[in-house]
Amino acid sequence: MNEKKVGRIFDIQKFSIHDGPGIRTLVFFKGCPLRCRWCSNPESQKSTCELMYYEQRCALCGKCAEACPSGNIELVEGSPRVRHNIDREACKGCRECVKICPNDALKVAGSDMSVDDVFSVILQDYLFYLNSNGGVTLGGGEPAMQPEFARELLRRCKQNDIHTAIETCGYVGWNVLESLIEYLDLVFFDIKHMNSDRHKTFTGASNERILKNANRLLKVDVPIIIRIPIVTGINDNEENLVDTLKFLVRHNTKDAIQRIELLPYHKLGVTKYRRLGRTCELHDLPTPNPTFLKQAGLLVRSFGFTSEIMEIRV
Amino acid sequence: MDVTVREKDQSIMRKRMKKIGKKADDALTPRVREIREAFFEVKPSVSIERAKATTDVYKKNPGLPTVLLRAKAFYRACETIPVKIHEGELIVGHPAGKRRAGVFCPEISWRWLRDELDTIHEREQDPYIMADDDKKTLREEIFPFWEGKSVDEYVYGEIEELGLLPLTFNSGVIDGELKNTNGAGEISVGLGTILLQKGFKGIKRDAERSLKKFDPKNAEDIEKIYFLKAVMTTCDGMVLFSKRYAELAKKLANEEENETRRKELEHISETCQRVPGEPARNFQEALQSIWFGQVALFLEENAPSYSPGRVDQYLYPFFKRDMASGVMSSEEARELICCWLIKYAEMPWLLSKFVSMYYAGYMGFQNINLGGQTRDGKDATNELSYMILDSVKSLKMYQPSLSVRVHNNSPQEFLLKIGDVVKTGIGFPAVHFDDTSIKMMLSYGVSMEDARDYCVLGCVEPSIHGKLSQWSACCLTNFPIAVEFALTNGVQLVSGKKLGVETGDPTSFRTFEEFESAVKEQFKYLIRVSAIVSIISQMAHKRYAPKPLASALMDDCVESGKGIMSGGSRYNAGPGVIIAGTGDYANAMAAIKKLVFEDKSLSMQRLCDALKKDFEGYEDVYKACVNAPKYGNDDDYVDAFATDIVDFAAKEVNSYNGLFGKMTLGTLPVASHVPQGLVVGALPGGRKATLPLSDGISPSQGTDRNGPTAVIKSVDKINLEASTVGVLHNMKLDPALIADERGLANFVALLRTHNHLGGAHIQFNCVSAEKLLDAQKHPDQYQDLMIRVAGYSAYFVELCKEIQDEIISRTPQSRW
Repeated sequence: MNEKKVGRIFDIQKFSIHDGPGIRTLVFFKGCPLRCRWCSNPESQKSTCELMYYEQRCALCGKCAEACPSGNIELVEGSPRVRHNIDREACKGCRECVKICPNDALKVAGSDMSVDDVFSVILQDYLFYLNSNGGVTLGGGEPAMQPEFARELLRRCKQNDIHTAIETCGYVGWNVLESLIEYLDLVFFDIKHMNSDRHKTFTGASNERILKNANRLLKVDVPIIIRIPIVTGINDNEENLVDTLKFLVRHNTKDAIQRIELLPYHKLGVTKYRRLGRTCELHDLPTPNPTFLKQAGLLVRSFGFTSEIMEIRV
Repeated sequence: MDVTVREKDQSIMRKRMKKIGKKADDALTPRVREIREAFFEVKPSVSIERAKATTDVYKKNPGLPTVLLRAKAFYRACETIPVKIHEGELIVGHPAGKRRAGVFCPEISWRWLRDELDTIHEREQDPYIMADDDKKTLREEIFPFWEGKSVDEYVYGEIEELGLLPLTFNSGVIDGELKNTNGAGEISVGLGTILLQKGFKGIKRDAERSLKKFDPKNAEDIEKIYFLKAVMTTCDGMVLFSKRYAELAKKLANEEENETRRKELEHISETCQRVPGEPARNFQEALQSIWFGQVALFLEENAPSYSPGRVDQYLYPFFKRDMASGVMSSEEARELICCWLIKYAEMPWLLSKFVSMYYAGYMGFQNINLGGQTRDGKDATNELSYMILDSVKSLKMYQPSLSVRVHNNSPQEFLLKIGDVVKTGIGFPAVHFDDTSIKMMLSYGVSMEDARDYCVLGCVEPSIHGKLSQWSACCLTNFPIAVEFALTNGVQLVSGKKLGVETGDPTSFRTFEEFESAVKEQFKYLIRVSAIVSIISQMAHKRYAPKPLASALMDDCVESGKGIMSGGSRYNAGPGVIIAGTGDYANAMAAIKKLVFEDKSLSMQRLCDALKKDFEGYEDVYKACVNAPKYGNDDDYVDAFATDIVDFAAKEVNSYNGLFGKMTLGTLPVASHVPQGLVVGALPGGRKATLPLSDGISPSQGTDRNGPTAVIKSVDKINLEASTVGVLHNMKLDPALIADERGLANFVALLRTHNHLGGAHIQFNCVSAEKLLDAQKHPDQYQDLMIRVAGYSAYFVELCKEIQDEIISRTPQSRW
């Protein structure tokens, strides 16, 4: 197997139904060029494999510390209890600690899989795709950060008549995106903020490249679903939404936008930060005001788009 | 009867269906609501009226052939059972004259009630109240007479003689008591094909005609003559019973001040004058007739799974005629349907404390079926199918059980409607897939038309209305105990008793194959013993509990002069051997193969030690076992064991002959996976000792981690058609997943794919764990919360805590 055709994947989720039509398999790519503060998949951001530590399951037996070949884990006295000190920068993701842990308190996010590996999982649900008009969605992370792997995977899907979709943050080289379009039936494209400074503050990067890519993408003949995260205090205002919608109307010349999905911020990712040894800056952030969400939906429709609020149902 | 819906009628019906479909959320009519509320106010009780009648007849007619005794006892019951018409009822009749009263049948078994007489009202699972006077009558007059004369005692004696009691009675390893402590049941008699068409008077005429063929000078004819006379007596009994209802209705009408109700009662009286003696002429007569048929079955024997079958097919001509002629509006039809459906809930199947652990929730397993194909292979869905689905949805009663048949051309609208009912959380309908079920029927040598016309009876068992006689369950056992015995050289871990055969010291197996053949050796023994007990039970029913009434409603019995217990039905199979724990078996085998023989990371000795200690002090072994591949995740490594053991079990079971056909396999343990779990120690898949086993062919609780598509894939790898008695697959589903249109469409795709992959059955448990936990704490607030317990519905708060906990522990499929 060609080395380049190995992808770093942190999850494959079957029976996904909120990421494109029908019943889908969602392949999560590891690595993202942005660092959105509200990210609910923080383990998707870094390209390296990362150790996740589930403190509640841990019995503090110390077996992981003994097992780590590089001595990256140590148990230190702390208050109120013993803590695990994990040198995450030095961790190579060898999984020795995961194997030994009797309580499943350690997990490594990210594993290297061949196209065959991933595709064989995809094929398992083939009939479900056919009967539901479903298919495969590449998400993450940013699939376009691993363009050759993504392209090969998509090619294999199309070879087998499987509907394909990608979820992209748009902060990638246009040539990369362009190289994937050939094998894509649907693109989910995120637009997070129209103000470049604020975009940079909250995601770590300015928005010019993203908007430019959006513009280009809208000229290509591929159906697009625009996704706008609605994050309290960051972009949950009418002004930003109106700017976004104006931009989209202006560039939607080929009428490629199928609908606009509003993704209200949720807290399901908060505990993951702790597991990664990071602090979630937004852990106190309330979820968006339902009234605003409702208005936002109406606003989207007033610009002639179909809108959908992708609420978490628990 | 040809109930084919002609093509040109289809479009008219579609329009009507739409109209009806929109009314799905209509509140129940006040009448139905009142009847429903009255039902919930009644506590289940034991009725001894039938027992008194039976005892009296047996006492006064010593020496009479049993089939005639049974018929006379039936007739006496028809004469003497109290009759009662409740406020607002449109469909009337009950075999005890009392809502939710179970019919005690001492000639089948009485010792259990003697033992429970003072505790049955307070037992944990399915308590029944009893009057003190009745207890006295039982103690003084009824029990003493039956000493040594019940089916239960005869079977017990024979099994004791063969030395098989320790393994088959109260052991939990093999449970052979079902057919000895209860009537046989498990049949879909021809209510639609025989009773509606001929009436009991017509059947009696057939019997009279048939009688002429036989001459007592021929030894082999004598039994046939007795049988036919018995049929005639039971037919007379039912005509008399319905006349008593006609008279009561008339009397009540005369006393009734309300004009509307008086007319209703007069109409009920006319209906009961007519049916079930004569053929039904209209929809109400048809419903009343098949309900009386149901009452008759319970009067003959307290038993499970008397299933009306494909009601939307055989009732449709009556429905259509009345709708077309305008004598009945769709509102009236709907109300009538509700009044009829509620009657099934009034009829509990009376059980001993021990058996009620297996069939929890006052279940009768009276299964009605909708949809599917016609005898000539067209879609059979009609507007009555939708109306009954809607009625079940708004009634939210635990009986009758509702099954729908799905085939490759089932209309999208029908499948969406199924989702619509599933999401209410009532646990119905059970979905059956035609291709696999039809294959099951064809393997019995039935005609293609009869196979297409299969119905579903009991829990999940495909059968043929009025034609196929097969006990679904006689012995119940489980797969994982064979693994345990192979690891202990035949010793049961929880008891220390040697119940299996000797297959050698587990550490002596050099290869996985050697170990696997030891497991199969153990399993063969369990099947052999099950077969023996099944045949003994069949023989006991043949001798001591012939069933003239049920036989009268089966094709060919009257013609041939042979009842169902003499092989008189058109088709015969079984009895079924029911096996639980497919998922646990696969997980156990996969763990041993991987850890002990492939990875060699665990020695056989250490595994056995860990299992003996229920993994205590062996946390590393436990973790390795838990992390071994698990069935239900579309992983061939482990799924192959499930496929293999079902094929193996089917071949093994089929190699034994019952009295009238090959014995058959069922992987539908109803609730038996709970009590059977109590006798199985820790398993190598990581299931701890005494916890419930996996039910049917469902994955072990909480081990399916890849969502519903993976579960369906795993399940459908099994050659399900080999398990001809039926398979059971429960899937817990978060109602939020099918809340909107998109969710419903995906739900339908899930069903269609399950069908294409060779699925046989699936049922959804559509309630959140939080709600269930709350219901445990506040049962009074959740009286109508219905929940699936392995293939059937029951009220959650009426289940014992163990079973409640088991339901909660199943993985919720909330990824959508």
